[in-house]
Amino acid sequence: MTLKKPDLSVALGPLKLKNPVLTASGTFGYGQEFLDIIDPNILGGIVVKGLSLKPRAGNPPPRIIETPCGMLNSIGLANIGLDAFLQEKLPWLRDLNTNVIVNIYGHSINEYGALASSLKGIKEIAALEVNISCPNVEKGGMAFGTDPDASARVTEEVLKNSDKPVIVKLSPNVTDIRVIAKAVENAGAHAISLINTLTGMAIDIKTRAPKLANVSGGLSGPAIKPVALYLVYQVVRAVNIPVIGGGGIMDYQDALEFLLAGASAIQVGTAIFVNPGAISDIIEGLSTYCKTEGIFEIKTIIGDLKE
Amino acid sequence: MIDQKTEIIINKKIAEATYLLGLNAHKIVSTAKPGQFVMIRLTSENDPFLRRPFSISGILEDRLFIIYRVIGQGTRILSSLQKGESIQTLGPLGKGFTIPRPDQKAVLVAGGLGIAPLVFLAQKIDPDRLNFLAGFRSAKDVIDVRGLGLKDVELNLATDDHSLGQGGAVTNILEDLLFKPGRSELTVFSCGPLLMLKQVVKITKKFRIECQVSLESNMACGVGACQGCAIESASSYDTSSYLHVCKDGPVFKSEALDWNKYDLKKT
Repeated sequence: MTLKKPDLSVALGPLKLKNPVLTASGTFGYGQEFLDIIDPNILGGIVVKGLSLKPRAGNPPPRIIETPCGMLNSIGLANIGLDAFLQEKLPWLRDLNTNVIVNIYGHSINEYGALASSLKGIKEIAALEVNISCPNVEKGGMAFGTDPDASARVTEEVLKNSDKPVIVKLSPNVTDIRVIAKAVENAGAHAISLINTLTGMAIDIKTRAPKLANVSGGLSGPAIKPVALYLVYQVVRAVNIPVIGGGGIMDYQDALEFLLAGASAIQVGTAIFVNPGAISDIIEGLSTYCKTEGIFEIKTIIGDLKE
Repeated sequence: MIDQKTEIIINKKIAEATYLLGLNAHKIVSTAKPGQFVMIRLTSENDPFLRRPFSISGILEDRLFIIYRVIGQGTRILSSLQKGESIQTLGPLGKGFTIPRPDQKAVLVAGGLGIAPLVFLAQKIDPDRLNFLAGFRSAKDVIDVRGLGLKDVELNLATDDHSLGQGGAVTNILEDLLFKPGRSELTVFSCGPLLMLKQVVKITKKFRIECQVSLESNMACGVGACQGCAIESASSYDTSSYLHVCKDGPVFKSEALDWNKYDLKKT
């Protein structure tokens, strides 16, 4: 007889995950980069690198600067574009035994729709994550995600062109994130993920120049965790659709904080750069925590915050 | 590529602010090649946050060696670690040098700590076919490579302050060497400060000699996921306009890169 293990499965609306751990877009490539170390199939899902219709070279270097307990990046959504994704990456992703979520990014509302439409019918793609929150691109990205009407219109356009659950990824760089969250919920989004990076900069005092060629970048890592956690807490209370929480999660304890705040699943991002094994450590850590605390199903602790 | 706990077997000062670190890295050493690098996690805490990339300077059975210079918070922490302590090491990473054929001669041109990957390369080349040029700021910065598996290798030294070897830039020695006959069978391998690399590339281009350079960059992951270590590629070479130091390099053929786009203030 096999011993019963804690049930780590969770649901994001129509999407079922074997555990609540997802990789954040742009931090785990297409799942191949860390293959020697991490089997992507252990994950609840993998969110692949942000995809645009045409290939994007990204921003000039330097693109990365270390900051206290974190890092700034201004990658600029460098990616291979839709055609190369379908030809070179999809065949590999199809064979994975986990939820493949494709993060999409457009310059215009039409481009979001065109991307969604191109991915229609590919049954191995479990869901779309709509990036309206990248701080490192001139057009699109955060320009949509900081405006409730534009956020809603992008969401509607993707839903109209898609046959998959649609997750909208929100920016923390707004006055009141609940307004945006409600706007995308009303537009029909199946779930919300947050947070994308916080806009920031760093200056070299010797050269007196910005350290990033792009001047500003997105802050990530444990430095942003308290901010992310509170934004998740607020959004969970503002909407009735599932929320995926993330921002600075380094270990299973961090993951648990987000689940307790009400996130139905979590995204691990920057931690992977520093410690690729964090992914498996977090999944195992959650399982051990459940066993120790006598929790049979992890979904029972989602939002179980004692206030 | 393996991420393993590595025990420090040696961590000693070998020149001004320069250290030799030896790690018991039995899993990583089995596939490591000259020019490849490792990412070392300096602390299990979150600050300093990112791992640091270091070229591999040699392998002796299950021991992996790196040479590093203390320049900031991360390397200061590294220099304080003691024999017996363990650190997390990811590697081997990146594409290394294309090792010269036995009938070829190699000229290695190092600037300062740029000697680190070239020491490992030199270990794979017959000393009779090797000319190892190394420039340092001053005599106190000179790294003696004879104890690093290169006992028969004589460094052709240059120091900026004329305190040891030939005074001035190491690239002057390279240029003098290439004026001599027999240069057509040579390949140049170089690593060092950007200004020096640009000069090496200019000289080898003038003499139409193949040149492989090892570059450094800020990087977060070391495996091609974050795309943080982008550098401009020569447009004739690659239309995507950026290459990545971690995965496409750190060793590049000099003609793969757009040397005019490099900016000194960035290094």
